[in-house]
Amino acid sequence: MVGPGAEALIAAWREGDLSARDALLIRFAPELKTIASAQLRRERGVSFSSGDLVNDAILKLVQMGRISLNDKAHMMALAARLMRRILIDHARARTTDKRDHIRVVLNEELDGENGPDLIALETALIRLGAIDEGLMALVEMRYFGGMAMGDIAEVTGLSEATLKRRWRTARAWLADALGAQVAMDRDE
Amino acid sequence: MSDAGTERAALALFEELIDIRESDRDSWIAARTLDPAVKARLAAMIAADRISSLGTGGAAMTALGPAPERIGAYRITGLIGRGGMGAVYRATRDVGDFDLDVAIKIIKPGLLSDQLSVRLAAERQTLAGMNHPNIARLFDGGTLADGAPYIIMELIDGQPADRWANAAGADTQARVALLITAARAVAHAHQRLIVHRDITPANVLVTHDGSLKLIDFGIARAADEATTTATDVYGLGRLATRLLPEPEPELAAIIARATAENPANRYPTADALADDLVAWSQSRVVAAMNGGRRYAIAKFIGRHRGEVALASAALVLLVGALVAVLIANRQARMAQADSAARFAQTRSVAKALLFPVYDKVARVSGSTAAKAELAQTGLAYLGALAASPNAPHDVKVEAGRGFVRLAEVTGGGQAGQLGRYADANALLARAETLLVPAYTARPNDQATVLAFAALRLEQAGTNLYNNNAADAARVQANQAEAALRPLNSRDAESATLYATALQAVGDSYGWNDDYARAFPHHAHAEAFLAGLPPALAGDDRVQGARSGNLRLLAEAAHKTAPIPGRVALARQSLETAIAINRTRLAREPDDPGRLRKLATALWYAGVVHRTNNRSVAAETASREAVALARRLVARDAADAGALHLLALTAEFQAQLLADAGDPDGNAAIAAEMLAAHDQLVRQAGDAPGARRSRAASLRTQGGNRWNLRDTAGACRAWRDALGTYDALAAAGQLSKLDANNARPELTGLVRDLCSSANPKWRKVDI
Repeated sequence: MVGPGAEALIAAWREGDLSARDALLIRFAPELKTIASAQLRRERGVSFSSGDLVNDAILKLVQMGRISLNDKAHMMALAARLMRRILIDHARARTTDKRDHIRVVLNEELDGENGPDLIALETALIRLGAIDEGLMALVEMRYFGGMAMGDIAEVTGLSEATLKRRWRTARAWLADALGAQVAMDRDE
Repeated sequence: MSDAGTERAALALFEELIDIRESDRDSWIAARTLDPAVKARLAAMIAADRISSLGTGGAAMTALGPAPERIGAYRITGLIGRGGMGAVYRATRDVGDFDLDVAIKIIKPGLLSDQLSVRLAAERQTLAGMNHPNIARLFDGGTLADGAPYIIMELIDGQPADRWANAAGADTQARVALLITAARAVAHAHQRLIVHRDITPANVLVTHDGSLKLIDFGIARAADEATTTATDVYGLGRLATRLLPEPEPELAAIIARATAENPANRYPTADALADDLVAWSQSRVVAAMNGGRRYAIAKFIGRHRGEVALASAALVLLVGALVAVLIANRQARMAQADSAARFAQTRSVAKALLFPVYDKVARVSGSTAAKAELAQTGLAYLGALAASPNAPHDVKVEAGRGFVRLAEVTGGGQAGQLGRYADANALLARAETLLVPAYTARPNDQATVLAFAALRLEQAGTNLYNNNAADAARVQANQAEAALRPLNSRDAESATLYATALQAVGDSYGWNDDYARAFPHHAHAEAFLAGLPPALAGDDRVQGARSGNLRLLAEAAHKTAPIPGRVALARQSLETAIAINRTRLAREPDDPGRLRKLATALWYAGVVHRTNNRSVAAETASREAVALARRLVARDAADAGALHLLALTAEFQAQLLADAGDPDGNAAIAAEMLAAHDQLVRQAGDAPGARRSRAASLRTQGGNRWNLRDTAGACRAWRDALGTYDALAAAGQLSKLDANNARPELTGLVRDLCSSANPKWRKVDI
């Protein structure tokens, strides 16, 4: 059962009201975070794709009756945002506590065996968000949420063809930024 | 660093640039911007796009592990798709005399918890037995060398149902027909207690000839949340929304009920959903509208839309909907009661198959295969009920008992089993996952204690008689004894199990010839059984247990004969055991368990008589024992316990005939003995226990032939036995006793007596 407010918020978000999305994020953050963190703890030492984590978190919310499956794509976008935070927090913590291993494959279609350095990626994403928030959100959904283009289309209202072009653009920009980041570190 | 304006301009241009041919790009850019900063940023992005560190589809695919070349009889011929859980390959069977294209799903190793893997394996078994035209067949499954579970399925060349319907321009009737087919297929699976868990258009395919197939049954998701049949009803409802984007009111009501947020408000079964869809198709009353006369009014409006004012139609529908809600609430409670009744019904049928029916069948000779089938059928249902996370405690205990039972008949250490020890071990492991937590949760509940103790005793028997692991067996027998002690005199079943536990502790010593330690446990069991109140002591099962223990008590007494009184105790114990079993057999003349116990007691009485130089009594007892064993084998060729008994009694008979100086008689019965052993080793899949038994018999028979002055026959038997001990030693499976006694003795005999081409007979002490 979606709380009366949540349904309205999702509807507003569908209409393009991003503050509605942020309100939803605040509402569902504790639950999503608990679910995703529990999964990460349980699956410690095992390769796990963040897309699966997001998917499972959403299914859990549906099963708990907290949301309706109709809103799945939007909720996945929220979960993707949270997953980004969780993984970055985890990556930061890992630099101080080496004992804690969670092997997360961000997007197995893209990562292969070695994903990029998460903290560098985060820095670049924040910059990209300042330039074009839509591109950042797209990377978030596709990369951290493992969302299919069809689901992203439902959330953004953009066609899949446009999304594919924008995805490639974001990827090129990030690839360049991540390369530059390494170079900058060397120079300084 | 570039400023935001430059970056935005570069991003916007890059997005368009993607569709421009590479050779045209420079002129295309020159026509759009003169800003060198933007041009520089664009150039950087183009370069990065080529060597994107995030990777492209093509690069990523090679980074993922390569597909195995083949799995079993199947050669992988291509990749169908990849997902979060793993990959699906196309493969073709190129072994054997028929061709078959299949889909093989390989799940990433380590993705599933042990518990889930076990459940997956269990469901795979049930699924493999499912044969429905609208459900993709599951052929096989297993685990690859790297631990990745895989499943071999029927290859379906089709499109997702919604896409197919759109492409084919299917009308509402045709779409509803697809839904009905899907719902009936799901109902078929539910009746076998299999839940799909993930009914989506992607898993409901329609082939080019328009037939519908459900794929990925029960394996689509690794989710371990409480999934029930209501999950699938919901999935079917969601499928309906995809197939019927703009449903008319009746269909909308059906979809609403199927997808109700509260599972209790959904259709109780997939069949009920299918029934409503059929009713819609035939324009009959739809239960989802549930309005009786009011529904009939709505239906009337449906048929006479033009004649009825729109406003009044809306009013009627509104009233109808309110009534429907009220009725639906009442029906939800009934539906719940109904599914509870189904659960209870399934459970009682499964229980009946596993326990009372099984027990009746077990009393008939030749029923080993039938027992296995009964237990398997019962368990298919009970195991599925117990696998549900909110299964009641007692269902889990029953299923645990069922697995123990199936293990017993599959390859336990006892009578009436198929001799497939590896399968039995796997079944016991499944029972353990159910019964150990159950016993921990309720250590004082009688049914739980009995089931747990039965498991430990079966494990002890398997460890002792099949795996040759006496120490592990003793630990398990002691656990059973401790669990049972508080309730050992409560009823016949508890008393029987308790005595069996004491006996198993003793036998774990006796197995390695440590009879001094075995004796007190058998004596304790006998004192316990003989001291039970008459009502319990006279119980048939208690008497059966007593007879078995008396035989082992006699053996322990016989082997510790220098201790005063033990010779008489051995003889007395066996006479009591024989008498008990003759009485029990008179009550049930065809019961293989009783026949077996009588044969065992007679055989050992013969052994004791022989040692005490009563050769006529020994011969009489032995002949009857061999005859009983032959009778058991003749009635049930699949019964490894009967074969074992024949090998045992024949071996002793061979010894008696050698004593009597009858080489031909000895050779004939020894051949019968060896044939039984060979059959046992085959049935056991070369398990060490079966090979050890065979080698021990050969060692004795070699001595018989030597004493009959047949040196070649003796050496043949000894060499054969020594070969087995050497092989067991090489595999680290040689028991301590054999390593200290049998193997060095045989090595010496072969070296000293069999080394020349024609060894000359001289008297040796064997």
